[in-house]
Amino acid sequence: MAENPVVGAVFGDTFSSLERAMKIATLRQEVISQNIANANTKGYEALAFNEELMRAEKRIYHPKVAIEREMTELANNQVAYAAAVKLMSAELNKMRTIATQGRR
Amino acid sequence: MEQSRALAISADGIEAQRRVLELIASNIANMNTTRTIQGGPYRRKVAIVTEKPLIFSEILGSEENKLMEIGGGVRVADVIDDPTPLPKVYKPGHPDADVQGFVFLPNVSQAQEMTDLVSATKLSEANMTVFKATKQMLQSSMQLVQ
Repeated sequence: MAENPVVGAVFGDTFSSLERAMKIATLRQEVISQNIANANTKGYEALAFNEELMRAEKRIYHPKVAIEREMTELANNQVAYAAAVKLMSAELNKMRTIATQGRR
Repeated sequence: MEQSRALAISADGIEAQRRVLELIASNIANMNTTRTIQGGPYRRKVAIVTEKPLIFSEILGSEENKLMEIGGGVRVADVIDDPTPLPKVYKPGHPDADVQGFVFLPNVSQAQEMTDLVSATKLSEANMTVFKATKQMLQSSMQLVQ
């Protein structure tokens, strides 16, 4: 998105930030799914989500899957994702308004 | 399709728990089985559940093309017979009794199976909760194209 000069000029890096936020929430969702799917897997260590560490290709683990912790994460993640979608939708509306004002 | 990966992982979790439930059903149904097709009494079946590793760095990194080779999830790798010794009871009239009149019974404990049953059911529900949440997220992003 940010590579598009028009979009970049109008929105700065808002779009790419939001896109990134959604990507991270998606990834976090995968980690939560994985931890819950493996809650009863012998020897499985729950993967803790940490963006910086993941980018450095390092992982930290909790020794055991705690369903409560994962469910809290899930709720947090849902809210974060919904917020990103709302903001993105607002940005798109802004763009739509700008694009259609010339008709008046 | 990163979102549907999370869906696939949760579906995997539900499937694994369903297979565990099938084994529990089989164990309870065969609690008194003293003669199986393989011969000998029934042995409690145990599922070996293993992780399918989740690889994540490709999303935060720049290599988009690595997206395809990603796993994640859980599976029932094997079903084994519980090796614990079979309980032996004295029942001289029983058709499967040995010369001394002892019968070997399956090593299935009802309490153990019930505990496993609750655990598998609850885990299945947890996976469904995550599945629903992911689906909701996926649907909410559809609003963007309205």
